[in-house]
Amino acid sequence: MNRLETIAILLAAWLAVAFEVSFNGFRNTLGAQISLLPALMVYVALSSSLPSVALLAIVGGMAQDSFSANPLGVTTLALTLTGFLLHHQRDLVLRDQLYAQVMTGFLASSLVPACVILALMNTSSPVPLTWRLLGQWLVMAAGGAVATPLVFRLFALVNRLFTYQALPESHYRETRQIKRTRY
Amino acid sequence: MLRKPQYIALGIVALVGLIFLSLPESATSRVKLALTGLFLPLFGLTESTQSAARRAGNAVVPREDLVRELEQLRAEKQKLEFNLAQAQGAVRENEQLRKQAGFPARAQWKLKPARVIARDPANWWRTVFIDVGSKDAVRVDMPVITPDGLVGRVAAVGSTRSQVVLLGDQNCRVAALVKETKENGVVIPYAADPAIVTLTYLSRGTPVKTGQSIVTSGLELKPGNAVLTSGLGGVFPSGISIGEIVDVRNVGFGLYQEARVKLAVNLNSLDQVWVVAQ
Repeated sequence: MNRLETIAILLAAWLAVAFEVSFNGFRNTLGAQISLLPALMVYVALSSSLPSVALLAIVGGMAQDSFSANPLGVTTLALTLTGFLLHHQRDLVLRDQLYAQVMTGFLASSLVPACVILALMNTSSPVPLTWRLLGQWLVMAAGGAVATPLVFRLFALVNRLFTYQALPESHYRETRQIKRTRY
Repeated sequence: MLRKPQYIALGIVALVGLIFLSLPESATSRVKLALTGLFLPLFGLTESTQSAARRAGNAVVPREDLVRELEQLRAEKQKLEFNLAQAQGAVRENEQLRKQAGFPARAQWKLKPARVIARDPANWWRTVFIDVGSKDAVRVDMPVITPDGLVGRVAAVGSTRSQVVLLGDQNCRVAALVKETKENGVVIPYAADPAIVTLTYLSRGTPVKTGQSIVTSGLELKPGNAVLTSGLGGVFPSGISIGEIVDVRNVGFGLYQEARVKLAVNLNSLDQVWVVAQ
């Protein structure tokens, strides 16, 4: 995990949570807020190391729970579980394919809230399971499925802009040049 | 296969999560409010962007519209001044009568304006953050209102920010009464629709009979009846509008009634609210 990657993950987690707490467009139109952290976790789990997964889970989960009535740490555990499962199976996922990105985004975005709700069922204030909650869960999963390819493209752009790109080697060799001389 | 450092990383994350989950409520609340401080630059940026957008919008409004609106506001102000003078007279009269009857004086509300700066990212909770805190003398359990009616109560207080639990969240229950029939009940969440709450434990509204132990008004609850805070419970002062009844049904084998109440305040578009310091 290099320094740029760490900074990018922290910044992305901060922006994702900031988006969730300040943008009400999805809540007002679709009836549910879409979380970008699972989509981010898919990218990090498939493209980076396990410490990056842990970092995103801790920073993103804590930041999200601090704005929520959720018990502090519950989203961290849900993100860790999702990230660990994806990272463990990363060799089997064709992460450059759009279809794979959408499907893993859908699975991660449905697994994270499901884990949180399951954890909340064992607390003193359990979430009531209703049809409305089911609808919100589907919206979150669909939103995550759409967001995941966008996250992959965004990070590809960031990588192109900020990391060293090796130039393609030329076939020209100075030593192989035939020099024409007078003699 | 996982290597040893990876096991360690996973163990650390699980440990951090479990430690925070096992913290007491007061400590968790303080940690949460401290963590939200990391987002202060965002809130400042959002506010300055909004004010810049407002200024830009104001700059392109035609002068004729502004003059027309100014005249309307002047006329409205004069009307409100007359109403205020009348109301002040009524208040003075009420105070004198209360004094003569030996009733204690009614406490005046102190209102603190606040702006909603963040919403709960989890869809299953209904809380918001406002930009006033303990520095502004905000305390836990203070009611939060808008001119339309009750919004919720303060749940946690930081130095410059507070968390407000909105009506319809399972952690915000309100003692309420129906204005027309004076029936008392408790406002609880209605899971299927966020714009509606349930007013429960209402008496059946059957006429009072001789020897009956349960006292009812004898009036039937009807759609359109206004629901206000009753003042019971000590958190919310009486007389704040909650909403109006949509429909009524018998529950508990006819022992009591439940009414669905449409909230007076649109909680999805909250921007400016008032904290009531009693």
